[in-house]
Amino acid sequence: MTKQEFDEISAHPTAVITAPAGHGKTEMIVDMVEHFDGRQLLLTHTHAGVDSLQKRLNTRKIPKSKYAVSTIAAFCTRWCMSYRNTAAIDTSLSPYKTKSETDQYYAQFYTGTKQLFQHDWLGRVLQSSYSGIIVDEYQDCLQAHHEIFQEMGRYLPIRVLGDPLQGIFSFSRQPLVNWDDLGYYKVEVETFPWRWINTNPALGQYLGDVRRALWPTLSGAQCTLNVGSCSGLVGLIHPQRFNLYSMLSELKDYQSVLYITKWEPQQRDFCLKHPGIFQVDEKQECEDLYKYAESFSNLGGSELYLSVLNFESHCKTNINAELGSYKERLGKNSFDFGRIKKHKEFGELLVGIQDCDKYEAALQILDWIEKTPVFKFHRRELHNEMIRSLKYAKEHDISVLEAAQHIRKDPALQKRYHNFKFLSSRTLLSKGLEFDCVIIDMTDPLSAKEFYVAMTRAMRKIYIISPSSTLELSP
Amino acid sequence: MRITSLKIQNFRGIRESEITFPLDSRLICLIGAGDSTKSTLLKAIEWVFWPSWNLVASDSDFYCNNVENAIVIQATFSEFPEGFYAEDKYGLYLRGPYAEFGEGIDDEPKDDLPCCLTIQLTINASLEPKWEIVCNRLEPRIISQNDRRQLFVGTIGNNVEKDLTWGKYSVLQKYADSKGILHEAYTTSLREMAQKADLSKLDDVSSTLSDVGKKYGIDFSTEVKSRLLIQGGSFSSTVGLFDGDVPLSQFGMGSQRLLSMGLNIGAAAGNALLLIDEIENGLEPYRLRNLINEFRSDHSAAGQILMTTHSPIVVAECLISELMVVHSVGGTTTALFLRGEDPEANDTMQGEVRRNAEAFLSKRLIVCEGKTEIGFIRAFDKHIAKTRGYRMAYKGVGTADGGGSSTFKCANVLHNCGYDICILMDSDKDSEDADKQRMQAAGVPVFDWDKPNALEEQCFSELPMSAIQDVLQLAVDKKGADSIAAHLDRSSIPYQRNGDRIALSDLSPEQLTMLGKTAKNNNWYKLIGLGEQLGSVVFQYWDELDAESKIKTVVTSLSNWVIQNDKAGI
Repeated sequence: MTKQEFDEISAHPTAVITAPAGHGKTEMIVDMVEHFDGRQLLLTHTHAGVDSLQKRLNTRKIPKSKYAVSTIAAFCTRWCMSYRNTAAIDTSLSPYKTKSETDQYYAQFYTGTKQLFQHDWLGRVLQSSYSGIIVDEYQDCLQAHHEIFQEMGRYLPIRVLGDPLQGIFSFSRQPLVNWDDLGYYKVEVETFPWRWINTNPALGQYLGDVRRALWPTLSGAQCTLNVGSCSGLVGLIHPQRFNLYSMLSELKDYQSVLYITKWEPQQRDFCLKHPGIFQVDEKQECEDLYKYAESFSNLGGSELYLSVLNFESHCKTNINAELGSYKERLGKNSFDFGRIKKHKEFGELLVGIQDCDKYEAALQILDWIEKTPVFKFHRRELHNEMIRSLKYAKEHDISVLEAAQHIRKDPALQKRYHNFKFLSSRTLLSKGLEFDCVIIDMTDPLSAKEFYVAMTRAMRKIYIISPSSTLELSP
Repeated sequence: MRITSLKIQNFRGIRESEITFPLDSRLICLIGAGDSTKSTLLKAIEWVFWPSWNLVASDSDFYCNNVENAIVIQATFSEFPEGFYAEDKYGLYLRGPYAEFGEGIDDEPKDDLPCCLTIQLTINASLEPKWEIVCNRLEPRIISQNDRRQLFVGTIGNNVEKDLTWGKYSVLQKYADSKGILHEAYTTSLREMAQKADLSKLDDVSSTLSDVGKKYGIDFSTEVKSRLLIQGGSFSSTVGLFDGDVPLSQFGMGSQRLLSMGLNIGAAAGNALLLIDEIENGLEPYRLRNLINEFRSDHSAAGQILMTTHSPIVVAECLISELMVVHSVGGTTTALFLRGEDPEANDTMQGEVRRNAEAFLSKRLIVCEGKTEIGFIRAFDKHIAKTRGYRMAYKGVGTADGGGSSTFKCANVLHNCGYDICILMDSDKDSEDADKQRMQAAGVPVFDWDKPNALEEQCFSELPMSAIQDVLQLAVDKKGADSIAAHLDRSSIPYQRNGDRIALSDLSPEQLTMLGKTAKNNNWYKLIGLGEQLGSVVFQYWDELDAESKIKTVVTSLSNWVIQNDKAGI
């Protein structure tokens, strides 16, 4: 950032900087941390966001005394739990039960934090701790977040960065902040598509054109975009001519490939159609995991084993074809597997594990299926998370359902599965991530914002599955 | 820095104690009889804010020497350094000034009250001290010695000379640190000295020291040598402060203590918490009065002074909002306010403190209706000294002047402050019967005479004639024969006069009663000295008194109250 830009930011108690995806936003934040006196409080929404900020701060060798970085949720939780009476936190609520209670549990930390900073003695704590606040990805803020920062802005200068075109994050369908009505001073900062400089600078430039074309949709306008005119950067494939196997030789050269579609069932279907290649990117509230975890908690013996096999048929292909006979016997509560020819050792395993602890038995079945090559994964994350849940339940002597809720919801236990080479996802799940190649399925058209987020995930190459090169994009 | 509340467990003479300090006074004077653990309270505060790691605790620091029960001292304090408010320091540990402890109990600050922190010192059987900042919501957080050093807590005890030399724990270090330069200069020059100086010449002093040691019984284990010590970060040296050629450490005790107080207060720009044990030490009354008034004006907005005293001058100088009465019963130490909710009672109390300061320094009190009774008790004290071999003070008993009509108010206040009291008063007013009964019901013994007698009337009605003659002579000596003769004439009591002597003939009971009334109405004995002489006569004739007489039964009951063992703790 230039001295002029710093001076303009310093001259105002608030500042909002609009920066497109891949245009050096993280770098600007680090610049500000380095340039401003004292310690900055850096806040963003996701752990991935925290990690990437932290990484850049480390690379630039910024001393820890200059910043503290955290997710907004973790910051609010920490302060509210420290002053739970002042924040009016209901400690009887649990984040690990029903969805509505989970929502209520997290929502109270936002209203609570806002309440905290209505007290000047806590403003004093804030002022003694930091000299300024920087919030990244501000477009993802709920109105409730914005109200917190307005309250905090009474004590410290507050600078926010974001890109309204990427504002698709939405917890529980609560309204996102209105970018045009933040009440912060707008600073224009010179930007450049840094993200593509080493992979495909032309793509970076082209995405800038796309952005300009899509911009009017923010104010509610429809937009028509012709993607046929940029051969080499974007490949257009007619849905009826799409054949993954014929593309594989090219795709294999990429480090990572992302398939993006609008709906969850299509996301899974795509993986099922190409077994063992694409893996489903599971959403955080993973209902299939909870459903079977509950069933594992309640069942035992043959019923449990049958349920494990049913669960695995969601994760891997060929389960019913290869193990159908076993399922049939188990359905009749029979362990008489003598006449089944296929996978004799599986029958022996089922008989052998009857004396085991039931979670141990489930783990052994999952392990056997994992190691048997005839089955192909399409939901590896779901399978792995069930194994983690069973182990966590055993270790902490709780039900598998509770364990599953913990490992998915507790930030300290969460594990990320974005390292699959071929990932099938949706825009909401893939925000903030980068892939060499992105295949965007527009047979069911994405919204303008979703489309922009999907496009900007690509570092080298984009394929669009669409019957026409002219895309109609709505807000 | 100021303390708002203090909680102690198993420290020296204190098994448990919970004390709160007022927010509207920054000068607090702890009073109470000997062994009320006042000084232990100050020691506990000194320990909980100890500025270094090397606090040496021993088994005898545990209550009843029992190391099984850990020493836990918790001090809640406000007005700490601004840096402590930071989130990565103690900013999430803030508490209210009087917050209680326990998971789930709301201890968070409130908008209209000061923000506080609680520091906790724990010492268990390992004798390793551990200092933490605690609250009801979060795991305790260790507070480093560097942070503790930023809390300005000064102690004025008996070793004030340390503050007048450049020792490691001298308050002077706070000046050096804050100014930086002096520290730098000292370390640099001391290093240079250590390299260049020939220290062997200094060792000449060792033979002298050895001689002094022999003379005063100080045994040195080896030959004393002079050395300059320069240790990381700080330094110890033998460099002291001089006034011309006279080291300040040779000034009088009072002067040294005053200098030390001044240095400690100045070190924190008035924001120090100053602990002063026995403030009267080495100070004349006028310096003492001046000092307390200085404190009050110096500390109207910042800092806090906690002091103990055994001096009635200090007590009399204090406002009741500054006085806390410390009692220790069975290991539980309490500190109660002399100030209550009722403004009228507070006025009475303030008056009491001014008029009767000495009373507040006893554990147990005989509240006397007037000066005659006070004098009478003095004679009584001599009497038990003779018969029992100890004085009332040995049983922690003192006297309080009830001031006549305000006797019950005075007794009430003292009783509410935790003093163990009884009342000695006349029986000449029927209107007082209800109050007497109320006090008795509250557990306060009331010693009085046959109705409608005052003390002197009771004496005239029960003493043998020769004793009555002696008692009369006291009045004659004081008021003159003419005036006493005139009183007797007015009451038609027969006597013979021979110059300055007045001799009574045998009197009838009615005439004796009249004599008593005359004595009372003409204030013959309403002075402490006369009351004492009257008492002396009574005890002189003690053996001749009828065992059933009122004087003998009342004095015996009073005597039993004085020598009782249960509350005296002896």
